[in-house]
Amino acid sequence: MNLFIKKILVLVTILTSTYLFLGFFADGYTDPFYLRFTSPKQKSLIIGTSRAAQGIQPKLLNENLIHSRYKPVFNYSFTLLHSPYGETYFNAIKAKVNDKINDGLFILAVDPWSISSRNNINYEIETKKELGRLQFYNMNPNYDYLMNAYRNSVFGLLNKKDTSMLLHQDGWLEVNVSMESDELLRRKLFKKKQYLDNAKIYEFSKKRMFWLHKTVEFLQKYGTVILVRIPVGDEILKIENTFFPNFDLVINQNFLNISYLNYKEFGNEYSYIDGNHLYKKSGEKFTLKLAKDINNIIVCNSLN
Amino acid sequence: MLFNSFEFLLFLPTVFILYWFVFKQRKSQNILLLVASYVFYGWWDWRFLSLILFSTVVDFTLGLALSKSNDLSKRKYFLWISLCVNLGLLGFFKYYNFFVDSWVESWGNFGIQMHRSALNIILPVGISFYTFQTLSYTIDVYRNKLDPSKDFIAFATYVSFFPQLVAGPIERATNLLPQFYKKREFNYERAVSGMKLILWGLIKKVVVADTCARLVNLIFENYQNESGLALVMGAVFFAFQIYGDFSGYSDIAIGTSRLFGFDLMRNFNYPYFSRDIAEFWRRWHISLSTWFRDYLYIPIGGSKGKQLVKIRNVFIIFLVSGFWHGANWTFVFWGGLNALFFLPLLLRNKNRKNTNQVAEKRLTPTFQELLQICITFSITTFSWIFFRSETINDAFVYIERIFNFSNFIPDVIKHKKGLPIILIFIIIEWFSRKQEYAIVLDKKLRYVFYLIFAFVVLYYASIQKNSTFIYFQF
Repeated sequence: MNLFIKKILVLVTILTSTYLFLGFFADGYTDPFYLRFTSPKQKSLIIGTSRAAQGIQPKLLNENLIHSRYKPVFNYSFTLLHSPYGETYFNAIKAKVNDKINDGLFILAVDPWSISSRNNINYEIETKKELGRLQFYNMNPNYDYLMNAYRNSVFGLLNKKDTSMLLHQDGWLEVNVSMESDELLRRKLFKKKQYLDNAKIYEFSKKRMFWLHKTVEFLQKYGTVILVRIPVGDEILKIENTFFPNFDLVINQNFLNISYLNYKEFGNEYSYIDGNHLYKKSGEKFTLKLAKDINNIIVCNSLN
Repeated sequence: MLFNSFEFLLFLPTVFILYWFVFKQRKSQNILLLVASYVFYGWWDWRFLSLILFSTVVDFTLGLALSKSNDLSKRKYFLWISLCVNLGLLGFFKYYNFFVDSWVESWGNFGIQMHRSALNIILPVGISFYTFQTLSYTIDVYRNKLDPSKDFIAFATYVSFFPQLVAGPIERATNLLPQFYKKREFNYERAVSGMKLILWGLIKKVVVADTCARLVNLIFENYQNESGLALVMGAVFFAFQIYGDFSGYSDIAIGTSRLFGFDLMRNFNYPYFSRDIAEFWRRWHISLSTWFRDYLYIPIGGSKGKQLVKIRNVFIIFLVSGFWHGANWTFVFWGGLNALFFLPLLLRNKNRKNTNQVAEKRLTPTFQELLQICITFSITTFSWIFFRSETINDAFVYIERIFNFSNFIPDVIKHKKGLPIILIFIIIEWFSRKQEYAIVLDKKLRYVFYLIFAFVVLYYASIQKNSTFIYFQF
């Protein structure tokens, strides 16, 4: 019996230590999400989908926000499939917020899709994705993520092939793609088709709206909440306006006491990698503008 | 709880240590196994433990009642109660909606629209397996082949024994129940063979079945846009998916049982090296085939009697076997198809022609044997198309599209991922076909191979998250 147990222990030790060792190779190139689950609980968060993940750069916000009490800001946005407003995202946010403070800043990116659901499936798609599979959101290395959510083998951590995406420690997703006109056009056409298809299968969800309310109410306990509509290209905006014409009205009516920074009319001032996501240079410009507007709001609020 | 889950990785060593080091008495070991089995099952949904417990109490009580009665009519009555309760539960949870839908549809064919009142019934995991196991007990007690159990804990542990509770092998009471009455001693050789079976089972499941599963899902869900060759590949991948998945589960179940000093029956014996369909059915899901043989086929006459009776019996056993797999006409059709393949052998008395091991004293098969193996594999794979498809119509369209000969080369490239794994798997299985499991290695190098196998499992297991076992749905 002892011999048997010793042999099994040796085997288990080798396998476990290999696995644990490999976990240390996970970094910003691992995938577009991993690092967001390795940071400790955060004081200030950027919340939303991939538009916010790529378009708002926490480093620039930290440099340009006048009040140091909000810093550091952490980008905790994912994608439309992963983090539309809902119970799954709410739980992930709850786990990430430092509940010992009450002077944080929470930038919630909203758009017609993030409060809509697909009508061709009878479950919330994000429950099956990364956020829905996790128990631990603040662990480094995050073995919970590597075991239950990471889509490749842990051995793949040794071999980083995709360098087009880099997730920064502050949660900003830097995307490096060719902006050559051919490539750009191809991506734009693809994204346009994708959103035209989405418009057919998505519809406004009362449930998602409920969870947006709940998220706002929850975050208000820990600081200032600001709603933001991130700019997009003309074509996507056109689809959005048709899909959800009174979106801004709905947001304004539902969140009377919350500042809503709506940049949808300024889409032409920026460039996009696919008509939907801000190119990183434009992301810089947009973040600076956002920081400036947030500073104004905070000054106004303090005067009131 | 799944065998390929992190929870099981903690559960198994915990129960193992408690079993051998803390609960050393037979009775306390049985209690531990019972509690562990209920935890194992309750991990999925604790509410359905009540079904197992109910089934256990009913059959335990009926077993005792049967032992006290010599009156044949009374004994028959007790047997019928067991059959009605067990098959009733199975029928309700597994087949209720199927019968309601079929009833409504059949009236719909005559232009009569009926209101569909299907219930939202959850299929309890493993119900088909433990129901058959408890039935085997009552029938054997009724036939006086087995003394009824007077030890409720031993009997309850027999019904719910966690290694084989949710997907078999379907154990006979005559084999497994007496093992709960005896003191178990730790046996090093047996435990090592158990570990090897677990490792090989994991390879079958995590490496072979799960890799094939991804390709199968891709092809079957998109079969209308795939070429003929891709569809053939999809069917072949499914053949290996279901084999790797189910036989892998059985290996892990048998291996786990050995760690606790129990011997379960063999469930698979290299079925894809069979030379005819009769041999295939002697090597595939052996515990179910022999269950049906002993409790259904032989009681209705078996292969004795007139030709028509023989044909009827073959169809009954295959159709029922198909229906056992699931509440869908595709399974029934799959069963019927196998009956058709089997029938010519039975009618020509050739169904027991290939009872020995293929190429028993040779390294490679003869050309004739190879041809027979290929033909048997092809017809088996053909029938798997019905098993995998959502509807019979889908299966027919799938088969029809196989004869679409466009786009051959790109498809091979697109789906090539599974081919090397299948090829290596076939080679390993071929060279191990005389053994119980494929991990029989040279003494000096065995640790290197164990490590390689273990790392391969770790590699693939870290890709395939949350993959379940196909047979859980049955």
